[in-house]
Amino acid sequence: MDFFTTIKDAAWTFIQGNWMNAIMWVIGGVLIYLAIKKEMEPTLLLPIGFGAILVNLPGSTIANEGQIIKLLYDIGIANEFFPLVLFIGIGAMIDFGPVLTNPKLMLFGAAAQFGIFFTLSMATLLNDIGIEFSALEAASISIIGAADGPTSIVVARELLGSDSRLFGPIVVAAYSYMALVPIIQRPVVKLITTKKERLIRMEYKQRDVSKTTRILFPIIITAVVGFVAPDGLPLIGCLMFGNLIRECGVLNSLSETAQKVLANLITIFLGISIAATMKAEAFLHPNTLIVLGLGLVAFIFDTVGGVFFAKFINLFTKKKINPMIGACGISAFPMSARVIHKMGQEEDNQNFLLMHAIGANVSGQIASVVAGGLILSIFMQFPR
Amino acid sequence: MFELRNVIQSSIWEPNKEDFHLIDSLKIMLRGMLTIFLVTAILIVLVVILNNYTKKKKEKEEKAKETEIENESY
Repeated sequence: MDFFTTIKDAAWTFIQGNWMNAIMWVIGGVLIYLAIKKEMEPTLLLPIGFGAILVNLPGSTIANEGQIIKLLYDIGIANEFFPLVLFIGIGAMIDFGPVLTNPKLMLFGAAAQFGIFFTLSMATLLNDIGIEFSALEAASISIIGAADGPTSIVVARELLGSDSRLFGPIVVAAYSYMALVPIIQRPVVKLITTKKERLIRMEYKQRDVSKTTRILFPIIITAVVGFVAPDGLPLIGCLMFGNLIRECGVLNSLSETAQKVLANLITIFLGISIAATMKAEAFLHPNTLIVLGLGLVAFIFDTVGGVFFAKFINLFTKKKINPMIGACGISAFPMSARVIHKMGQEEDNQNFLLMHAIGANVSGQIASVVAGGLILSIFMQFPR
Repeated sequence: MFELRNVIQSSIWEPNKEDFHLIDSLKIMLRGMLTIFLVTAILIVLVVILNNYTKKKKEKEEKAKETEIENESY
């Protein structure tokens, strides 16, 4: 009897001492479940989930100064190295062909950044009603709406510093919601479009894009964005450098390395080092829930912005656009395009929206980086 | 006159950096969305120009090739 009492007491003491860690194990478990069972952004959710468990085991020192996770964090995230290098890989993966054949699709990428600014207003409104967020914190939270992990990391780190309590929740929210795009966008798009709108067919004309255009495009974008939002140059510069390697035609082996080896290697380290921000005592805070809530608002209003912009364009054009295409303007590539194509096929199995959806989705990648650069340019002037 | 314009412009565009409120974030929303659309419009125009230029260049090259073949056959 004494033995069982001792065990019970020990278990109770353990639970009392580690309940916060236990919550983090559950969060880690959910992320791993989503990655493996639902195949949602597994390359990132799995390392983040495993890392969350790893750093929260009782007595774990793996994320302390000098230990492997902290080391990876310091060399890769605290100085933005991983997200920027990852952008070279992403740039090398992206084929801008669908946008170059139909450049008007870029407008949807622009419209779908609405969620960023809407969330900024919501975070500021919360501050006005007593939930304290500084202007820099509000801006960092709003960038979750860029639907782009590396952009969120770079902007949040620049504005808040990597030691901020909000940095971890922002990064985790950015990646988790990207993985949850199919679950978030589907009901929102259904809610704000009619069946008639979802049935609109869009013709796709295959056109050749010259090599000159493909090569000049990344250079032009870098120059224009650099001129408008110079603080966003590291982001757009790395993305477009990767794309130039892909399109130049003389660096095929480098392009392949950037797309596969480099991107995979960085992704492994990025995921696991994000876990350094997920120590229970820093992560479990009421503000984390607010950040997650605002992140969801950002994704919803990105979608709303894109869809309503397509509806607005339909007021003036003869050839109607399927408003669902507007939802693809978010940067979550290629999940968003896949979701919308699938939704179109569910309504009418002869409706092929994929190429338009991919074009808008790729545009979202560019627009989200522009938005990130703008947020940086505006808020870097704010007092810290 | 110039100063007045500056004051009006700054009250429309510039958020209050010391005391940031909802109105300031709305200003940033307006400024941000307008800038993104402006950048997008510039990019669209440049891509259209580039596409037209390369299309014309390709047509010219094809025409020159055809003439060359015709000349050779004569």
